[in-house]
Amino acid sequence: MGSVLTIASIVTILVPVRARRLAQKNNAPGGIAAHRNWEFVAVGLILLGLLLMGMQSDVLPMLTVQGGLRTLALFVAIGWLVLRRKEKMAAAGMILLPMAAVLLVSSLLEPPHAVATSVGSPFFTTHVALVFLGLGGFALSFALSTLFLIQRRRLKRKQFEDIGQLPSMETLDLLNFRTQCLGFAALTAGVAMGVFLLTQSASGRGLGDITVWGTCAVWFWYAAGLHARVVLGWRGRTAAVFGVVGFGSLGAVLTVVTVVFGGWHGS
Amino acid sequence: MAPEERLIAVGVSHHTAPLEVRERLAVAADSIPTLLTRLRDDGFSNETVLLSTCNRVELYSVPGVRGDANGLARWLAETGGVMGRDVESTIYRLHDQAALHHIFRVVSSLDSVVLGEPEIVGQFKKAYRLSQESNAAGPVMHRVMDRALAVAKKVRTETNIAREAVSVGRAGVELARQVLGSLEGRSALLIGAGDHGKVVARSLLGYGLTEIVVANRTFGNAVNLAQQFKGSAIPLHEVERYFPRVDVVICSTGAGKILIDRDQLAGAVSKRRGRSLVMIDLAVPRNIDPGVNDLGGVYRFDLDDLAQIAGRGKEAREVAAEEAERIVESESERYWRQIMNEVVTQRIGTIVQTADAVRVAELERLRSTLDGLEPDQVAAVDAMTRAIVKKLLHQPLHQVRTWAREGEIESVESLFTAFGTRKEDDV
Repeated sequence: MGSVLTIASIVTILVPVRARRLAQKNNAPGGIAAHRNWEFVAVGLILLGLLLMGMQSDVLPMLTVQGGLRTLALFVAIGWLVLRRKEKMAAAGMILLPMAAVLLVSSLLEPPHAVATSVGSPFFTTHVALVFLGLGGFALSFALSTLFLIQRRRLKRKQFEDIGQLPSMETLDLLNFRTQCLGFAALTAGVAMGVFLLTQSASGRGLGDITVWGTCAVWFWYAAGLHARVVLGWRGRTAAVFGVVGFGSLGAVLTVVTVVFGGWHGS
Repeated sequence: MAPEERLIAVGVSHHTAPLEVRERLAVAADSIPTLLTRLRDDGFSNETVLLSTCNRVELYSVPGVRGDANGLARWLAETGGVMGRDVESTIYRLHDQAALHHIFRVVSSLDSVVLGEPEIVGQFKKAYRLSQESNAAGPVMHRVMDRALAVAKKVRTETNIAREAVSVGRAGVELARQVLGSLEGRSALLIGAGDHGKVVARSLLGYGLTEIVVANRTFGNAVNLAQQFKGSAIPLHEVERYFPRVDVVICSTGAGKILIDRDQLAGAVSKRRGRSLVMIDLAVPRNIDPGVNDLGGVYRFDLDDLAQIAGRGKEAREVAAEEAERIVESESERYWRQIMNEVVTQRIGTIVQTADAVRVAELERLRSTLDGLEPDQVAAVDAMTRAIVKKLLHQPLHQVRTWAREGEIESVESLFTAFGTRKEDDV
């Protein structure tokens, strides 16, 4: 049943993407408006799937790799719903909605199994929730950074046909900064919680855990980027490249940890 | 001189020549009087108007004894220092009705980069004024220019072409906002007092720009302009100090050279802490080194870019332009016919006068013979000779009027040549 709901959510989440593509092809931008409610349906279906997972298992869904990926997809989709309220932000959906769909597809490939330690601890649940919130923030930052780089390229290369379809570069840069701040604050709190759990844990995990090292690398990356922005004034293209590379690295860490090391924290 | 060369238009525009060529051929306003005088003194042109804007350099001429379209085209290329077959091939040459039609289209903004843009009328009036001040505009040019301005007014009032136009100013605003977002709280530096620069600066102020600083070679002009914009004025050599501070730089001077180069700006960019800088170069020749666009956070746009933005609304204006083209076509045809009728009437008058002079001379030659006649007999002979001349001329003159009405200029010219009237006496 959970898988059926996930497949349904993948289909519904891709309806607006397809509608937008068709609208662009037929030069009828108004055509997408009728499909916007599909995004709410998709979020509802993901949420329903997670609830069903929770009811069928002893642990919270997001504590499993499968549920974690779906939780991340949920955060990305909700983030998009918030972001789309801004003017000319439709193009961000073309990045975020397929990204959510990829996360949902990935969750179907992974059999459900919980992390090994501290599963019952509320601290652990908070730690995971905060980390996923952070990742969601970085996903939004990635989409905004990508749009910034596209818009910059168009303006620098004098390709003015579609520049009016995206927000101003200043808006994209500011939103990129805000979503990075949101993601970084959540990740910092999540990592701090994780460090606290490690100190409490008798399992000896930590130095040998690739997830910890990977997360720390991502944290340092974004910390350096935000520090450079605030102190040195790194903005615009530099900040956007930071956002894209940071999220790319994060995706690589998640993939390596899940595929090579069999799950997060060696679950 | 070929019979079809009463009015000539030669020049280059954005349709035929790239910016690099146009900026070489561009003529500064203060050089125009000297060039117009030279054209007349060298016998190239009896009457001339020289229109030099960012998008075109054109000569409208009533040719002199040494002048023809090719000669004027060569003169234009030589003046710009860009000799060569490639450049000459970009110079168009139009004669008579085609030239008149072209002039009407230009001033009606149908040949502009931004269809229907309003600036061309002011530029056209300025070119005409310079020509008048240099005594380079004679009776033909006065009439052509006055009629051209009347046609432009008709086009703007009877069609929607101007209402739908996206001006250069609006295009500048759109590009600045695409980079900077809201213009509220932003500042701009306006260098020079060119028309396009003022238009863009005014548009930016209309969209919430908070502060404007004006710099000009003549400080007094900068002060006057700054007062118009409620901004401040600085001497031209101080502009560099403002690069780290302002958000938009608009350059529109007649300096004819690069005023802001990449290296000069690179230092200022490092002090901006990543803030974007929009640079709008409206001058031809260009004032801002195109290389500044490679600097991080710097976005340089020139007239061609603004034209590209403005061109996006072209479809709507093209509908209005179809009606405008019909007006221009009918007006140029009607006016050319009117000119030709006047020319033909004038020449017919010359022919009739010449024929009558021959008749009178012949009567005079026979005076001794006619002296023996009674006065009523002399009057009868006089009337008879008049009637003969009139009847002999009636058919060819009727035919020449018909040809003139039908626009068969070559036939008209052939007949006039047969009668021995000179074209130099025209108009």
